[in-house]
Amino acid sequence: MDPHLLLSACKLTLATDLKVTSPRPGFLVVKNISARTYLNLDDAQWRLLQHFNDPQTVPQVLATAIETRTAPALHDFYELVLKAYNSGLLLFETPMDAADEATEWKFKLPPFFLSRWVVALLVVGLGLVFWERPEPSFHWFDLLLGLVVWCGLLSLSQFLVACELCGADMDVYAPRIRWWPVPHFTIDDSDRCMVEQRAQIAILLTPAALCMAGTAILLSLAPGACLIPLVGTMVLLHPLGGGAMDRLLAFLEKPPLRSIDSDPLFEPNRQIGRRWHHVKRSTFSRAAWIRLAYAVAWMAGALFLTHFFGGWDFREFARDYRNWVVVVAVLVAGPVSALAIFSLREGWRLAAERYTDVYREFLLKRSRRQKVPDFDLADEDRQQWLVHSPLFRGLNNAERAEVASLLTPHFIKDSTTVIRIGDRPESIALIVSGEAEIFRRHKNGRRQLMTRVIEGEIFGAHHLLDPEHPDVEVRASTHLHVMLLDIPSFQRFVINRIGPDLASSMALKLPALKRLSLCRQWHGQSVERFAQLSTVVDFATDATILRENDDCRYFFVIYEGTVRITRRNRTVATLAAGQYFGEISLLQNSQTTTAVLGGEETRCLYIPQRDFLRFVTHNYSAALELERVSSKRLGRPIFPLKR
Amino acid sequence: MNASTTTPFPSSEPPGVLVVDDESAIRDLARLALEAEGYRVFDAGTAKEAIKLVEAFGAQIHVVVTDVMMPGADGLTLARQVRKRAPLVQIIVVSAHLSQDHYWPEDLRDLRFLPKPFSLSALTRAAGEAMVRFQAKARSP
Repeated sequence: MDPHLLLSACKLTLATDLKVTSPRPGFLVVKNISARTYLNLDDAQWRLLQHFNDPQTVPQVLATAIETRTAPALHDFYELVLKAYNSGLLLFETPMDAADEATEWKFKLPPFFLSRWVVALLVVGLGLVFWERPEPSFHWFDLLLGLVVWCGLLSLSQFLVACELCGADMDVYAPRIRWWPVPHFTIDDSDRCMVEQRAQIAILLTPAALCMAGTAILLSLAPGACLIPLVGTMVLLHPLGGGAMDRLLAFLEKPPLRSIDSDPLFEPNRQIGRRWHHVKRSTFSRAAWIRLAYAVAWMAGALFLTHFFGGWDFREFARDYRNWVVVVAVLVAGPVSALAIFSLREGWRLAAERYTDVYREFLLKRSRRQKVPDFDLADEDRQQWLVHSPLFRGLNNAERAEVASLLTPHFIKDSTTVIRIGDRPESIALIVSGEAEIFRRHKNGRRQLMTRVIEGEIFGAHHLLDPEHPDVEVRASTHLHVMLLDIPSFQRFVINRIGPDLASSMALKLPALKRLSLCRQWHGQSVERFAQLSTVVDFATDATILRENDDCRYFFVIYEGTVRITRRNRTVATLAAGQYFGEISLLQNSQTTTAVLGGEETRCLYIPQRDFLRFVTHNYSAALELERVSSKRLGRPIFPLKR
Repeated sequence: MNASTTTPFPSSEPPGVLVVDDESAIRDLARLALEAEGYRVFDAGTAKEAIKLVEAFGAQIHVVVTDVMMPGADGLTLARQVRKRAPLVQIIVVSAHLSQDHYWPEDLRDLRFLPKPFSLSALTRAAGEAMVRFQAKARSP
């Protein structure tokens, strides 16, 4: 399923065969029993997922969360939904394929009871091994004996782990003989993550403790046979990711790592900025330093044991500083190379994302500079431009052909003032190439840029579509190639067909909204719909648009002029045309924290709360953009809301 | 899955529209409306069938009208696959679940969207516009 569809249109349901446990306070593990998948969550995330008990779309759940003031950080929310869907917790139409069923295990051992003994066994075993100073033999009999003992210890430890899991009321999966790296009995202990923390410690340490104790006993009975068990036990205790000790040290993470904190699925979370946030968190945490200390201790232990394995004198190695240079170089080179490869890859992706648009804009500007005063378009090309313009989209084939025949090509040199204040043009211009600026002149004579129009958009219809403010000045900012359509034909084919309101939305509001940062990532038809839902309202100078600590029921976009944001009668910011306000109250479902006052001849587009929230919840790009801007304005993350 | 004819169309043949929807009633209605406008209509019940038709009759299909929610691959996935095989083909997405309000992935933002339920005149108009786009794209170097 396409993730975009999943996050916007699919009705998802919470699976029914779920098992929920709480290994740590405030931290849950949810298991889909049939699919044998697990998800680590916090309480708030689980409450959010429970909204899907009845089939719901993601926008519906987000709208409910905003309404009840329980909305989480949006990046986390979308990541959670994708992870929950991938792990079979949330279902769309069909459940996930069932995995193997659990084995009925008859033997039980209480892991709580064993935990202290396991730790004691590991410590004593470790002490004895280092006390005894192993001197392994490479004779074939000793190696064979060591191998047999090691296989036995591994199998016994896996048997005990299965008993402990069963003792904690968890399932044991796939008991089998594994042949690699040595033949031994093994089980799948995935359910371990669901048991209480102390029990998990016992289960994780059981193999290492048993093997260490067994090796210590072997050292006293048959010292020559200890090589394989000793190396095997050291491998069991390795500090790398995915090992028992790494999982054990993960308990030190505060707050505990949730499934959404690693391996992002949601595309925006894969960007370097978001990844860096997680890398920083995991690198500079207390757990990371303890992990590093353990890794150093493990390496020291390994070197110490190697010293006794004969042939290689550690003290001689340590005396030569050049050896240490090599060791440090190898240790540094690995992470540095990995970091360099990661940075290059992310940098390339970032550059491709950012500069593709810049390059396209450059090509467009270059094409606009090309001066071709005498140009004409074939009938098919004229029709194509009509199809691209939302104003002419409702025409049928015959009407479109007729309008195309009425269009007159026209060239306008750059920096030419095309329409002056007070002019009433006899035709509208559909831009084929180039860019024009539309200005409004204030009562004090000051000229203010209202908007820019580009290819596929029109100018020259303000006096028809905005009769209360008919006076605008239009100036060609590049060479313009336009197709002119006389006003009576425009009236007949556009205004009379789709009505003045829709025509006004498509011709006047749409170009302004398209340039809004909020709408840049939207589908063209989404912006058209947004334009249709919005209404233009005029405000007198210093008129109160929003009061402080008052209800806000609208989202505002500044269409013309400026507004002042004030708090306790002090101006804290001024917003200009193309910026928006009101979103914080709507997203927080709370009262306003600032007042907004109109500037000189201010006009705003306003969208009712319901329509605004529908757009925000259905369009995650808009939601993320609004979350970013609101958090910046507030000076703290807007989600999750402060109670 | 069926087509009006099983032989490849000569270039003088009318433009082709592929209608993909898991509901046969919608496919039949769309076929009636589009054939009345002079289009040659292909139809498929799933994305998989649609891809097979595009591969078999690639040059004869100019516009694809696809539903979004279908068993198996969804309409957006189909749109991407059609584009890979036939970049000039214009795609119209129809859906009752998806709307203009939704987020559209960047690579699919230029698709024409038609909300369900749609009138047959809206469908034929959208197909006509898509055909103009196809011709313009085919002419451009």
